[in-house]
Amino acid sequence: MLSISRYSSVVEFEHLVQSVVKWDFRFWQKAFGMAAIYSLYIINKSGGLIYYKDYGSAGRMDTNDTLRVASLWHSMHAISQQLSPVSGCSGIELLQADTFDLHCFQSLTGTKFFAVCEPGTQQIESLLKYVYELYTDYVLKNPFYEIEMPIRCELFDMNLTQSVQKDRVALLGQ
Amino acid sequence: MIGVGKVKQYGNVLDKPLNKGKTEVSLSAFAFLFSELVQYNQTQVDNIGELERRLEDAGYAVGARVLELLCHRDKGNRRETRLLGILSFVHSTVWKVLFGKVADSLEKGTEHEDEYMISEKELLVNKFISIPKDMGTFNCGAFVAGIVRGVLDGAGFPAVVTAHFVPMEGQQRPRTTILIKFAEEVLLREARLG
Repeated sequence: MLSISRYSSVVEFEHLVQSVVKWDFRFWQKAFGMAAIYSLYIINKSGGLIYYKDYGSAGRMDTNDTLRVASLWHSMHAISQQLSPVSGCSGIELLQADTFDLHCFQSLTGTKFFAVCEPGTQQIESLLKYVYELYTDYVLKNPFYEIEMPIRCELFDMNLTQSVQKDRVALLGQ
Repeated sequence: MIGVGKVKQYGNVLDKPLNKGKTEVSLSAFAFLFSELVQYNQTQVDNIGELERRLEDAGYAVGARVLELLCHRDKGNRRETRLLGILSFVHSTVWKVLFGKVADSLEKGTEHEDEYMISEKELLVNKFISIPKDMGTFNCGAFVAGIVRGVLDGAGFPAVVTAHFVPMEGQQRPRTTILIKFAEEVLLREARLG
């Protein structure tokens, strides 16, 4: 069952009801201490993949597939803005499926950060905002980085690894 | 009388005291400006050596001016004539004013008499910069090396100053060392002074 939610205030109530119903299942899942992020994508404003990092042991994809997924998500995100019954929609923020959640954060410049994680993982929104901060620091201030090109910055990788490890430790420790 | 406020009016602008001004500048603003400086120079040169030289020249101009300013403002117009004096001036005063902290360490080279090293765990100018693998040993710290060369040259201690990455075991990022190699005349003068 696939449900695209959280893009309109009308649907929010329905989502609230849904999440209360799902809470039981997710509560037990969290109780076993497993809440992890599977992969992280960054796409530029034209939809090209500029960064991909995968953390899970399941669902490893090769480069071509990751590029396809990225451009697919970019198109879906754009279409959802048109489809919304309420004007001023900024696109999909959360996609919930049986086996994964996909959280998306779009910056003011159109760069999208999205993470595929285990259902019910908390605080992915703040993680995505933190990744955005790392991006502005270690990628945009790097004179050797060309805008909209794939990210190959050592400092960005280092800091990202440190922060995801920290998050994981914090999540597993709960 | 109209126009006479609380501020004391100075007849001559040269009589106004040299105030410290704002001692803090946004790090992000500086990082973007420096990044643009490096990018601009990259478009003008053909190879990495040239790029390093250009960054050094940019730093040289800063160093010459910083020396004049600090001698007047912080040292009461006293001039350093000894080698260790000027080195500790660079290591503490200049670093404090430019980067907000004194340099990590000042060492004398063991192999040669005329070599001294100022080390820093991470230069402020390099804080957000990741050098791509194909640029080899290029270090944007060449800008800081230029600043040091400007200060030393202005003070009468001509030297060749370069910036190097020194890998450290147990740490992911290498330390940066500013290597100062003084000219012959400086050492002769120093020996004469005793």
